[in-house]
Amino acid sequence: MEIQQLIIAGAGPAGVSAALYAVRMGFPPLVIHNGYGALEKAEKIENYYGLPAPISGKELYENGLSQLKALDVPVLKDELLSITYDGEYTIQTSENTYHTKALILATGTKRNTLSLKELKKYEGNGISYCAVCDGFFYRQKEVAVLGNGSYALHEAKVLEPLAAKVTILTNGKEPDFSLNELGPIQLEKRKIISANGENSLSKLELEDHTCFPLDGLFVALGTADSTDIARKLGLFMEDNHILIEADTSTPLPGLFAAGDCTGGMLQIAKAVYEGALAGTCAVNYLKSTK
Amino acid sequence: MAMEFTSENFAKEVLQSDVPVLVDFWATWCMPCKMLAPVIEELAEEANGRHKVGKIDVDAEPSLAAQYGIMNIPTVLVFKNGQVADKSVGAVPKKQLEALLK
Repeated sequence: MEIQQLIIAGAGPAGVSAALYAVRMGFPPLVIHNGYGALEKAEKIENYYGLPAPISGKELYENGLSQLKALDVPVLKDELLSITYDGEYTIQTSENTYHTKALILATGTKRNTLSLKELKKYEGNGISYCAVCDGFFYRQKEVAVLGNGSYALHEAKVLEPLAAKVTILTNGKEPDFSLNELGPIQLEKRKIISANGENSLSKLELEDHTCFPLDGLFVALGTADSTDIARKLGLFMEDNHILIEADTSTPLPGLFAAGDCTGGMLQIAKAVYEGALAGTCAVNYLKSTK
Repeated sequence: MAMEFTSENFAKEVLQSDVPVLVDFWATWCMPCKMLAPVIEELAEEANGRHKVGKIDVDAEPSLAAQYGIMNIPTVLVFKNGQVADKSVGAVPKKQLEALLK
């Protein structure tokens, strides 16, 4: 396990901005990121200060990483799987485990996460976003995890000792993990076309119109973003956004959030501002606990 | 302070209550439940007889959790006249729970 003072999850405008302020205050953070995020889809950015010509989101992201490199800030490309709190933070990624006193969540937010409208209908009645919280209610029952990445596999492994049967539903995608890691976990690659059940979710209809019975469905699409992590830590959420104080702090000591995951304008300008504030406040927090 | 509801006192304190009752289903090992706990306590302190606030430990009272179809924690149910009038899942801000009691 690696021990750090400050970890920043995400290297978009909020994460990089937070890192720049922290390092200049004498607290070099470790930045963990997993690719371009929302910037990948921005072909041309023209509405940000100081750009004489449009720049692509990818280019801006790479520029941010170069800026961190120039300041010797360590940057790791890795996928976040879970974060737990016991006075300090333990961060599990697909490659390693880290321990840190302060943490800034800046991994953005997923857009259009759910393709099945019915999922919303069964939230709280058979649909869950947190295996570690709700697995308890599915002891000896048949559950499925929706997703095709390491995050889905991680959630399935949390459920596997509790449930009678665990299936990962990739919904038409190829699994993005080694099949050797599945163990007793089942894999279903067919697409899902609808979710059904009277009071609670009880079956899914697959693309060939076969029925997939289940007692519960855990949603773990793509990679774990800030809101997935925040929900499990018990941070207050509103409309899938993390509620933060004016200084980007949260009810958990040493935990700050910045950028798209806190809602409001999903704009670079706002992410940069919040990142700067989070970096500064995280350093002030570390100084106050010394 | 928030009350502790159990199978023994549930009918009397919740179902037969004259005022709305906010019930928080929680567990000791659930991090979001711990984060919600101070909010539940605040609502209990501020109730002033207008409503009741209490908690059910799902480990200690699995039958009550099953009876009300609890599949996520924390889940907050608001009972009015012995019936479930509203529901909220997850750690939510205080104003959201206050709205359920109105």
